[in-house]
Amino acid sequence: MNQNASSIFFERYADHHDIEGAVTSFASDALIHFNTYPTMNIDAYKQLGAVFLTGFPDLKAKVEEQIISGDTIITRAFWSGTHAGTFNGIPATGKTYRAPGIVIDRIKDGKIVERHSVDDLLGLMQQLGVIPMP
Amino acid sequence: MSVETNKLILEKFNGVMAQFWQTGDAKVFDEVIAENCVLHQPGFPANREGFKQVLPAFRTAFPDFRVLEFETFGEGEQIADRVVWAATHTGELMGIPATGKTITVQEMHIRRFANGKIVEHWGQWDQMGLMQQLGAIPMS
Repeated sequence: MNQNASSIFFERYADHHDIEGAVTSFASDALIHFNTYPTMNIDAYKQLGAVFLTGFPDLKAKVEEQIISGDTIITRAFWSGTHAGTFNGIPATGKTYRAPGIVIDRIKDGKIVERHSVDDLLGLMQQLGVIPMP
Repeated sequence: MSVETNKLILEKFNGVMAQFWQTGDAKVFDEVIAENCVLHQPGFPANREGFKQVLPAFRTAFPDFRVLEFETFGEGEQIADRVVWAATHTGELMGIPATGKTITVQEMHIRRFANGKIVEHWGQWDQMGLMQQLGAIPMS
Protein backbone atom coordinates (compact mmCIF):
# COMPACT_ATOMS: atom_id res chain seq x y z
CA MET A 1 0.00 0.00 0.00
CA ASN A 2 1.31 3.44 -0.89
CA GLN A 3 1.75 5.70 2.11
CA ASN A 4 -0.87 8.42 2.42
CA ALA A 5 -2.12 10.65 5.22
CA SER A 6 -4.59 8.00 6.42
CA SER A 7 -2.15 5.07 6.39
CA ILE A 8 0.50 7.19 8.14
CA PHE A 9 -2.05 8.01 10.86
CA PHE A 10 -2.84 4.31 11.40
CA GLU A 11 0.84 3.35 11.44
CA ARG A 12 1.87 6.03 13.91
CA TYR A 13 -1.14 5.81 16.21
CA ALA A 14 -1.97 2.11 16.17
CA ASP A 15 1.48 0.56 15.54
CA HIS A 16 3.67 3.01 17.45
CA HIS A 17 1.17 4.66 19.85
CA ASP A 18 2.68 7.98 18.76
CA ILE A 19 -0.23 10.41 19.09
CA GLU A 20 1.80 13.54 18.32
CA GLY A 21 3.30 11.93 15.22
CA ALA A 22 -0.10 10.59 14.12
CA VAL A 23 -1.85 13.95 14.18
CA THR A 24 0.71 15.47 11.81
CA SER A 25 -1.43 13.70 9.17
CA PHE A 26 -4.12 16.30 9.86
CA ALA A 27 -4.38 19.94 8.76
CA SER A 28 -4.24 22.19 11.83
CA ASP A 29 -7.91 23.16 11.50
CA ALA A 30 -9.18 19.64 10.72
CA LEU A 31 -12.62 18.54 11.95
CA ILE A 32 -13.18 15.02 13.27
CA HIS A 33 -16.63 13.44 13.53
CA PHE A 34 -16.44 10.21 15.57
CA ASN A 35 -19.58 8.19 16.30
CA THR A 36 -22.03 10.44 18.14
CA TYR A 37 -19.35 12.52 19.87
CA PRO A 38 -19.51 16.28 19.36
CA THR A 39 -17.27 17.31 16.44
CA MET A 40 -13.65 17.40 17.60
CA ASN A 41 -10.61 19.47 16.73
CA ILE A 42 -7.13 17.96 16.82
CA ASP A 43 -6.63 18.64 20.54
CA ALA A 44 -9.87 16.88 21.47
CA TYR A 45 -9.01 13.99 19.13
CA LYS A 46 -5.59 13.63 20.78
CA GLN A 47 -7.32 13.37 24.15
CA LEU A 48 -9.63 10.66 22.82
CA GLY A 49 -6.61 8.83 21.37
CA ALA A 50 -4.99 8.92 24.81
CA VAL A 51 -8.17 7.56 26.46
CA PHE A 52 -7.95 4.47 24.23
CA LEU A 53 -4.21 3.97 24.76
CA THR A 54 -4.64 4.26 28.54
CA GLY A 55 -7.46 1.71 28.56
CA PHE A 56 -5.83 -0.61 26.02
CA PRO A 57 -2.03 -0.32 26.32
CA ASP A 58 -1.56 -3.01 23.61
CA LEU A 59 -4.06 -1.37 21.23
CA LYS A 60 -3.61 -2.46 17.61
CA ALA A 61 -5.33 -1.83 14.28
CA LYS A 62 -5.22 -4.18 11.33
CA VAL A 63 -6.00 -2.24 8.17
CA GLU A 64 -8.04 -4.55 5.93
CA GLU A 65 -8.49 -2.30 2.92
CA GLN A 66 -8.32 1.23 1.58
CA ILE A 67 -10.42 2.77 -1.16
CA ILE A 68 -9.15 5.97 -2.75
CA SER A 69 -11.73 8.04 -4.59
CA GLY A 70 -10.80 11.54 -5.71
CA ASP A 71 -9.82 13.53 -2.61
CA THR A 72 -11.21 10.90 -0.23
CA ILE A 73 -9.54 7.90 1.43
CA ILE A 74 -11.70 5.23 3.05
CA THR A 75 -9.98 2.84 5.44
CA ARG A 76 -11.56 -0.28 6.92
CA ALA A 77 -9.77 -1.74 9.92
CA PHE A 78 -10.19 -4.04 12.90
CA TRP A 79 -9.17 -2.64 16.27
CA SER A 80 -8.13 -4.91 19.11
CA GLY A 81 -6.64 -4.63 22.56
CA THR A 82 -6.55 -5.82 26.16
CA HIS A 83 -8.43 -3.76 28.71
CA ALA A 84 -5.47 -3.45 31.09
CA GLY A 85 -5.98 0.18 32.16
CA THR A 86 -8.89 2.43 33.09
CA PHE A 87 -10.96 3.12 30.01
CA ASN A 88 -13.32 6.09 30.13
CA GLY A 89 -13.83 5.56 33.88
CA ILE A 90 -14.17 1.77 33.60
CA PRO A 91 -11.52 -0.03 35.68
CA ALA A 92 -9.43 -2.65 33.86
CA THR A 93 -11.27 -5.94 33.27
CA GLY A 94 -8.35 -7.78 31.65
CA LYS A 95 -10.66 -8.69 28.78
CA THR A 96 -9.67 -8.42 25.13
CA TYR A 97 -11.81 -6.94 22.39
CA ARG A 98 -11.83 -6.93 18.62
CA ALA A 99 -14.12 -4.55 16.77
CA PRO A 100 -14.34 -3.11 13.26
CA GLY A 101 -14.19 0.52 12.22
CA ILE A 102 -14.42 2.55 9.04
CA VAL A 103 -12.73 5.93 8.56
CA ILE A 104 -13.53 8.36 5.71
CA ASP A 105 -10.86 11.04 5.32
CA ARG A 106 -11.06 14.07 3.03
CA ILE A 107 -7.58 15.13 1.94
CA LYS A 108 -6.33 18.53 0.86
CA ASP A 109 -2.67 19.27 0.11
CA GLY A 110 -1.71 15.87 1.51
CA LYS A 111 -3.36 16.42 4.90
CA ILE A 112 -6.65 15.21 6.37
CA VAL A 113 -9.02 18.18 6.57
CA GLU A 114 -12.11 16.26 7.66
CA ARG A 115 -12.57 12.80 9.15
CA HIS A 116 -15.80 10.85 9.56
CA SER A 117 -15.24 7.73 11.63
CA VAL A 118 -17.52 5.06 13.08
CA ASP A 119 -16.22 2.36 15.38
CA ASP A 120 -18.23 -0.46 16.93
CA LEU A 121 -18.17 0.98 20.45
CA LEU A 122 -21.21 -1.05 21.47
CA GLY A 123 -19.39 -4.24 20.47
CA LEU A 124 -16.36 -3.06 22.43
CA MET A 125 -18.40 -2.40 25.60
CA GLN A 126 -20.21 -5.73 25.22
CA GLN A 127 -16.90 -7.60 24.91
CA LEU A 128 -15.67 -5.88 28.08
CA GLY A 129 -18.83 -7.16 29.76
CA VAL A 130 -19.98 -3.69 30.84
CA ILE A 131 -23.05 -3.76 28.57
CA PRO A 132 -24.99 -7.04 28.26
CA MET A 133 -25.10 -8.79 24.89
CA PRO A 134 -28.55 -8.55 23.31
CA MET B 1 -18.60 -3.20 -14.17
CA SER B 2 -17.68 0.42 -13.82
CA VAL B 3 -17.89 2.54 -10.73
CA GLU B 4 -20.72 4.47 -12.41
CA THR B 5 -22.72 1.28 -13.01
CA ASN B 6 -22.20 0.22 -9.43
CA LYS B 7 -23.32 3.63 -8.19
CA LEU B 8 -26.56 3.10 -10.13
CA ILE B 9 -27.05 -0.25 -8.36
CA LEU B 10 -26.52 1.50 -5.04
CA GLU B 11 -29.12 4.12 -6.00
CA LYS B 12 -31.46 1.26 -6.80
CA PHE B 13 -30.74 -0.22 -3.37
CA ASN B 14 -31.73 3.09 -1.76
CA GLY B 15 -34.94 3.10 -3.81
CA VAL B 16 -35.67 -0.46 -2.68
CA MET B 17 -35.06 0.55 0.94
CA ALA B 18 -37.55 3.43 0.60
CA GLN B 19 -40.04 1.08 -1.02
CA PHE B 20 -39.62 -1.43 1.82
CA TRP B 21 -40.24 1.31 4.38
CA GLN B 22 -43.50 2.15 2.60
CA THR B 23 -44.82 -1.37 2.11
CA GLY B 24 -43.06 -3.57 4.66
CA ASP B 25 -42.39 -6.19 1.97
CA ALA B 26 -38.76 -7.32 2.44
CA LYS B 27 -38.84 -9.47 -0.73
CA VAL B 28 -37.94 -6.33 -2.74
CA PHE B 29 -34.35 -6.62 -1.46
CA ASP B 30 -33.91 -9.68 -3.71
CA GLU B 31 -33.78 -7.24 -6.64
CA VAL B 32 -30.51 -5.67 -5.44
CA ILE B 33 -28.88 -8.09 -2.98
CA ALA B 34 -27.44 -11.31 -4.40
CA GLU B 35 -28.70 -14.55 -2.85
CA ASN B 36 -25.20 -15.49 -1.63
CA CYS B 37 -24.29 -11.94 -0.48
CA VAL B 38 -22.07 -11.88 2.61
CA LEU B 39 -22.88 -9.14 5.11
CA HIS B 40 -20.43 -7.94 7.73
CA GLN B 41 -22.22 -5.45 9.95
CA PRO B 42 -22.31 -5.53 13.76
CA GLY B 43 -25.79 -6.36 15.00
CA PHE B 44 -26.88 -7.81 11.64
CA PRO B 45 -27.06 -11.41 10.37
CA ALA B 46 -24.42 -12.42 7.81
CA ASN B 47 -26.74 -13.28 4.91
CA ARG B 48 -29.56 -11.84 2.83
CA GLU B 49 -32.37 -13.85 4.42
CA GLY B 50 -31.24 -12.79 7.89
CA PHE B 51 -31.10 -9.16 6.77
CA LYS B 52 -34.66 -9.45 5.45
CA GLN B 53 -35.80 -10.91 8.77
CA VAL B 54 -34.17 -8.22 10.92
CA LEU B 55 -35.13 -5.12 8.95
CA PRO B 56 -38.90 -5.26 9.67
CA ALA B 57 -38.08 -4.78 13.39
CA PHE B 58 -36.43 -1.45 12.54
CA ARG B 59 -39.35 -0.43 10.36
CA THR B 60 -41.67 -1.09 13.31
CA ALA B 61 -39.47 0.93 15.67
CA PHE B 62 -38.71 3.80 13.29
CA PRO B 63 -41.57 4.14 10.78
CA ASP B 64 -40.55 7.68 9.73
CA PHE B 65 -36.94 6.70 8.86
CA ARG B 66 -35.41 9.34 6.57
CA VAL B 67 -31.98 9.94 5.07
CA LEU B 68 -30.43 13.33 5.90
CA GLU B 69 -27.01 12.94 4.25
CA PHE B 70 -25.77 10.51 1.63
CA GLU B 71 -22.48 10.50 -0.23
CA THR B 72 -20.67 7.84 -2.25
CA PHE B 73 -17.05 7.11 -3.12
CA GLY B 74 -16.04 4.63 -5.79
CA GLU B 75 -12.95 2.74 -6.84
CA GLY B 76 -12.83 -0.36 -9.02
CA GLU B 77 -15.55 -2.82 -8.07
CA GLN B 78 -16.22 -1.14 -4.76
CA ILE B 79 -18.42 1.69 -3.61
CA ALA B 80 -18.15 3.21 -0.15
CA ASP B 81 -20.88 5.40 1.24
CA ARG B 82 -21.69 7.50 4.25
CA VAL B 83 -25.26 7.92 5.41
CA VAL B 84 -26.78 9.96 8.18
CA TRP B 85 -30.36 9.04 8.94
CA ALA B 86 -32.93 10.23 11.42
CA ALA B 87 -36.08 8.64 12.77
CA THR B 88 -38.57 8.89 15.59
CA HIS B 89 -38.73 5.92 17.95
CA THR B 90 -42.46 5.25 17.92
CA GLY B 91 -42.41 1.43 18.08
CA GLU B 92 -40.71 -1.20 20.23
CA LEU B 93 -37.05 -1.91 19.42
CA MET B 94 -35.35 -5.05 20.78
CA GLY B 95 -37.41 -4.92 23.96
CA ILE B 96 -37.14 -1.14 24.36
CA PRO B 97 -40.63 0.37 24.37
CA ALA B 98 -41.23 3.42 22.15
CA THR B 99 -39.64 6.53 23.65
CA GLY B 100 -40.91 9.10 21.14
CA LYS B 101 -37.34 10.33 20.81
CA THR B 102 -35.90 11.45 17.48
CA ILE B 103 -32.46 10.01 16.87
CA THR B 104 -29.73 10.66 14.31
CA VAL B 105 -27.37 7.83 13.34
CA GLN B 106 -24.30 7.74 11.10
CA GLU B 107 -23.51 4.65 9.01
CA MET B 108 -20.74 3.75 6.58
CA HIS B 109 -20.67 0.91 4.12
CA ILE B 110 -18.27 -0.63 1.62
CA ARG B 111 -19.97 -2.79 -0.96
CA ARG B 112 -18.85 -5.05 -3.80
CA PHE B 113 -21.02 -5.80 -6.82
CA ALA B 114 -21.43 -8.52 -9.44
CA ASN B 115 -24.10 -9.13 -12.08
CA GLY B 116 -26.05 -6.04 -11.09
CA LYS B 117 -26.33 -6.92 -7.40
CA ILE B 118 -24.52 -6.43 -4.10
CA VAL B 119 -22.38 -9.49 -3.33
CA GLU B 120 -20.49 -8.29 -0.26
CA HIS B 121 -21.29 -5.64 2.31
CA TRP B 122 -19.12 -4.24 5.08
CA GLY B 123 -21.12 -1.93 7.32
CA GLN B 124 -20.41 0.16 10.34
CA TRP B 125 -23.07 2.05 12.27
CA ASP B 126 -23.17 3.83 15.55
CA GLN B 127 -25.31 1.39 17.53
CA MET B 128 -23.88 2.75 20.77
CA GLY B 129 -25.00 6.29 19.88
CA LEU B 130 -28.40 4.95 18.88
CA MET B 131 -28.87 3.26 22.26
CA GLN B 132 -27.58 6.34 24.10
CA GLN B 133 -29.97 8.64 22.26
CA LEU B 134 -32.85 6.34 23.23
CA GLY B 135 -31.66 6.54 26.84
CA ALA B 136 -31.09 2.76 26.94
CA ILE B 137 -27.37 3.25 27.70
CA PRO B 138 -26.07 6.23 29.69
CA MET B 139 -24.04 8.87 27.84
CA SER B 140 -20.34 8.43 28.56
